[in-house]
Amino acid sequence: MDIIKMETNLSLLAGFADADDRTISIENPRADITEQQIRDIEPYAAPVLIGDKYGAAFTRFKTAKIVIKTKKYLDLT
Amino acid sequence: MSTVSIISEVETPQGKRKQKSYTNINPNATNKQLSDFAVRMNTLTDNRYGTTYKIEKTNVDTESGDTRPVPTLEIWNADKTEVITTANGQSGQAVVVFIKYTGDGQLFTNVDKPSTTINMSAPDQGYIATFLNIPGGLTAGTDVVFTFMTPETDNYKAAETQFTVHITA
Repeated sequence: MDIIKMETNLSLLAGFADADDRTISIENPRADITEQQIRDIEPYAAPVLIGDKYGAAFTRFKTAKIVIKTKKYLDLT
Repeated sequence: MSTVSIISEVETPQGKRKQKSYTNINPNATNKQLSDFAVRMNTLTDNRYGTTYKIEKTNVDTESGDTRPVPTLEIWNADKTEVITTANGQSGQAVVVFIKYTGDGQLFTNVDKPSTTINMSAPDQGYIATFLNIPGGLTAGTDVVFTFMTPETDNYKAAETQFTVHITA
């Protein structure tokens, strides 16, 4: 019997002062996340996240997208 | 340089599974700032899946007031010597040990001649199997002291832990 699995992730694209970007992936996000809820996190992200190359300061979340992946495992028995 | 990570834990039928989602964290962030950020991350997750986020820190800067985790070391299956042949054909008396450790550092003993130092580097606790050559001969009654040391760096003081094995045969 084939098995189908679904994975859901929230991808937050974090922007930094040196124009670099970095993605944070959050597993199993709530389905009803609003833009405001993500904006509310930014003040708490600012002292914590730093850029990849030069340790540049976090500026804002540039994009947020919920990614749903479906994997089908074929039964080879 | 501190290594600080955002770790998510997800409940699965096999137990909790950890996933590292972000590693570049400001080393000067305080514990409260890290905790507050993790709490806000948790507000975005669906509680039905049991996903929780937390911040894990290793090699924390002592000058900031945070406590550096003490390295840990456990060794077992090390109370007997045996003659082994290595992959490159060298044969000799050895102690075969299984080691569980945390942190980065060097492992050495008080009986190696010449001294054998094993460099260890692992961001997470893990298990390795290895052996220490004891070319000088090792008899029953000998105490072998394994020392696991994380060296001093610009930001961190050296720390070490020891584990003594009494050779019985």
